[in-house]
Amino acid sequence: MIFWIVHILFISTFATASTSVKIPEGVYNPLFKEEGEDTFKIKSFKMDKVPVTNKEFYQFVKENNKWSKDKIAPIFADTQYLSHWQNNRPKEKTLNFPVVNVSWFAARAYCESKNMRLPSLNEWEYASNAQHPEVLDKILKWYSKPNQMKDVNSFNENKYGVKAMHGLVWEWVEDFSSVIIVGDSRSTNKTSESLFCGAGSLKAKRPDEYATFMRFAFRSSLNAKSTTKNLGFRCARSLK
Amino acid sequence: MKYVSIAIILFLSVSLKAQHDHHKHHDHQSLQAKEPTAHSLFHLNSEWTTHDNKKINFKDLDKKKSVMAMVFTSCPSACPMIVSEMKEMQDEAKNKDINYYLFSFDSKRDKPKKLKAFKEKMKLDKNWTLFHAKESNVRELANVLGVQYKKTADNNFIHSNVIFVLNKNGEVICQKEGLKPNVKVCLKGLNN
Repeated sequence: MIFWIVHILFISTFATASTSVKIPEGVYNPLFKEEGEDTFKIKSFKMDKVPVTNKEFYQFVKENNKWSKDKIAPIFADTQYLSHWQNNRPKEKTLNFPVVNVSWFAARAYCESKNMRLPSLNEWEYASNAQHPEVLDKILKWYSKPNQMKDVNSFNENKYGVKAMHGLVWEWVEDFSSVIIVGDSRSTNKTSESLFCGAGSLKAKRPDEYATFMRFAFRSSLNAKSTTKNLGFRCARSLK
Repeated sequence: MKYVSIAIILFLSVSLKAQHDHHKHHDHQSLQAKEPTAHSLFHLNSEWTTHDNKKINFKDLDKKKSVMAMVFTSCPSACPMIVSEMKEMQDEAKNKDINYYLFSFDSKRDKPKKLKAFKEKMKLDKNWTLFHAKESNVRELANVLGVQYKKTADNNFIHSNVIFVLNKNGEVICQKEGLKPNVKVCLKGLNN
């Protein structure tokens, strides 16, 4: 009983309880594996139910001026940073759209300001339930047509209770850059070979592999200060 | 009983949440005498610990020319080569007032003690400093530098091999990629 009080207290103290959900522990079986890698055990963690919105990010920027479009150091973001805002603020009708044109550094700083962090690649992939056949069908449809921004809440919850993992924006993960290794310290360049262009897509034999391939290839094309008009993020937190 | 405990939980959560919100607004930005230049790495506000167990924030590193690389000390082959290339640069450089920095990928194993042992083993002089930090700081530095790395299943790291020369403003003025005997690439940057 005391344990539960303490436990629930802890969660409610550090979480914005209404906006993040607990993802249960489980196993994630990645499509692309390095030598010696098998499946990953994912510990239970908390994740934002929806991607961070323009409104939320605007509030953050107001409180943390160094992340505003005018002030941000060029080592932390490219010139497209928040370029969809006008006069340093989001347009009224886009307030509940996911914030995009944000760099990895800015996304991270936002999460940190909420006592959170970016999800790891494995956590994100696991929580997205992307390998489920029905989800997969939707993902492929989304990938195949131009993107349209919507309210982050205009999506159904997936089996873990999170929304809009697919169909709205791509999302930053903490270790996005760890997939492709160029100029390796050893001689294994297998991962990059299996991801890049023609060679990679030939290896993706099934549609589910193709969708995953797209996400991994996209992430690997980014660097931490990249911003694009369909790349947003959501935050996560480890459970103690 | 059940309702009582729920009530207690709710009450305590609300009060603690309020406290939390209250604390949330403190500002991490410290006042700095001089703003870093646009492309300076001294924008990095991250805590590191040296091989001598001293804590230092990246932005407070010496404002003088430095040569740096990211390595890990359990590394079988590439890292000792990077270090020896940096030593070669140190030998060749006419400018002797340059700092040499090694930042470890290996937050788990490369604690200050281990870094110190590595420093001695590699016979690195007083101009060298080795740094340890938590994983998220390591990732941030790597991403600022464009160094790619990944922890492997056997707890080692695959990583790109790059040596950077920074000027006194903390701007990267030269970088040398790969393990090739081309030490001279950045020499000009060192002596200017």
